Amino acid sequence: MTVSSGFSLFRRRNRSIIPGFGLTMGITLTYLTLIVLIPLAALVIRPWEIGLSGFLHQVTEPRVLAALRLSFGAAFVAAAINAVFGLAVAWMLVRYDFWGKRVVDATVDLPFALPTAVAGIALTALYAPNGWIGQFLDPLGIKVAYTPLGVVVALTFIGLPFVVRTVQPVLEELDTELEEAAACLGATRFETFMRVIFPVIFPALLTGFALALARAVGEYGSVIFIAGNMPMVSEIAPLLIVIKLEQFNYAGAASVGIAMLILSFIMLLVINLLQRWSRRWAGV
Amino acid sequence: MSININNLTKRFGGFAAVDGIDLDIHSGELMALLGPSGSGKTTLLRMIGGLDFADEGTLLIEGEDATIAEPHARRVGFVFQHYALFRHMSVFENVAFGLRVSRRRPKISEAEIRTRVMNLLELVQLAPLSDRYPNQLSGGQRQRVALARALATEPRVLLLDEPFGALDAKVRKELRRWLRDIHKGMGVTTVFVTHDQEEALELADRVAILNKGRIEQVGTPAEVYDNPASAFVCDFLGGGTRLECVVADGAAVIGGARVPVVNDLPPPGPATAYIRAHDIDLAPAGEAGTLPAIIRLIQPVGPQLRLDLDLDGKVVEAVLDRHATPLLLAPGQAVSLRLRRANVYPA
Repeated sequence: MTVSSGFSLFRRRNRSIIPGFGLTMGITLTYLTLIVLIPLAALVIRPWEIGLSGFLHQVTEPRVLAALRLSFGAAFVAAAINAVFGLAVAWMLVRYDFWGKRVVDATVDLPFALPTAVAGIALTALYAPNGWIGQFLDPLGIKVAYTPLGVVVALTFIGLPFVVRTVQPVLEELDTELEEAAACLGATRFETFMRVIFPVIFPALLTGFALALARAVGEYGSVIFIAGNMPMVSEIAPLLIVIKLEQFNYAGAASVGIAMLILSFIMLLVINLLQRWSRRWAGV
Repeated sequence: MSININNLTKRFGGFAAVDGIDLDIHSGELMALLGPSGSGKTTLLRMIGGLDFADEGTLLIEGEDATIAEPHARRVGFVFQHYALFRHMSVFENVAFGLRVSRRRPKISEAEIRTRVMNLLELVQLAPLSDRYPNQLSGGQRQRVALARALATEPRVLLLDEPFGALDAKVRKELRRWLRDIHKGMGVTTVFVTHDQEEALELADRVAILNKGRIEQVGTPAEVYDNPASAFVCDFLGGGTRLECVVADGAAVIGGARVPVVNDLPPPGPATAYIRAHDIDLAPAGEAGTLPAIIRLIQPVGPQLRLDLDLDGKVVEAVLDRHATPLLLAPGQAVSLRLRRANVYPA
């Protein structure tokens, strides 16, 4: 008796009024396998032919290390810039009404829509020493095009929408009563922002930062035009992979790919944990 | 502390949400601003709190001009309708917020903050939950945290916007009694906004009834209930059924029956009478001074018997004591009504 009642209790607890668990789980697994897991597995299996020592040898080459450093460093800087200015853009779009707001709102999405090669060429033309903006920077000794700085500019361009679009809805939901409550309790504007508003939008800002970062790490099209692609200086890791492929060094290309994969995974994991921690008040 | 409001006006676009209001709130008083939605009661409260600013008129708190003062300079505590708790802070940190802000001078030590916050949480009976986050609390508990947070800065005036609006009936009743106890204990001048006439009459020392941005009447709950100054006030405070009448010889004549008038008698002639449901008795048929009616609907509600009666084609609501009504009543039955008293206003 006890066994059967225990069993029925178990069954009952597993019943859910929300249908489709089996169906959606099946689709999710199939889809993820086809689109993500099999290609990644191929990537991991490929350098098997050169063994672990071969892999380590490939990824510790100075040229590879320099490329990885540039890719992740520039992506990090670009995502950080976007976190600051994307927050400002989102704040303005949510908080104020002004003429042409819809146009500004639409402009934010342009980096999503524009072919990245077009963006890269346009940025290069602007920031080249004789370009519209470059001609003013050049006398100051600031070179953007064909330097790591150019890489950062290109990655900032493509990452902007991620921060704006993740922070915007959270800001829209923010109740103005919270700020009024803080004002009544004697908080200054700055305190209200730092202690009442920022902690609430911080998780969303982190998500936007992580998306912009991940996108920037993998970016290829826009960067190769503005970077100049000098080995050891302004050559990004994705370009190095292409170069290795063109030299029929498939295992070497896959090794760099795996190194990027591992670094990205660790980075996103850390951001995810940080985000979980910053939302500890949301759990029940 | 006393609040003096003179000719206060606030317009949104062309619409005057608060339209030249004069109101004196005495020190230590518990005052209700009562009115339907759109009557300007919340705007008036927000102007007292410094969250909205008047276009015209003046506002004095304790004799000082506070018309354009910042909220924190007025030293008011504001409790928002939806609590506006900081959801990323624990209950303790929410209450401590006003004690930690940099404008606070002199600075309070951490130990002192701890004592004061825990005393307040003790007062609102939430001390054991001080480490919880707001979304782990029930609606009534959140409301009490909001109140403790507002009281933490030792305000001169406590303002509450629809404090019990979002709570269920039982919790609301408990919190009402509890708010009155706290008010008695601390003696802080308190103003609250409500659209619930029962809440206003039960809780407040005095009630201000607002309509379309103006004050219709100010008085103690008994005064405004017994002698409503206008048809609007009478209607809003559960005026009952509205009937046409003629004022003659110091009484209201309704369908041939003379009904005593309780408020200030309007001049003789056609007028509008309000008969409260409690002021209607059933009488033996044909008795002098009664009106014939037909029972349409009978609803026993707890100790009451609620009747819908048809009086010459008009529906009249009556409430009888269920246990003191020996008659057997049934829908369709013809009865006689005695109207005990009426509030009468010029038509």
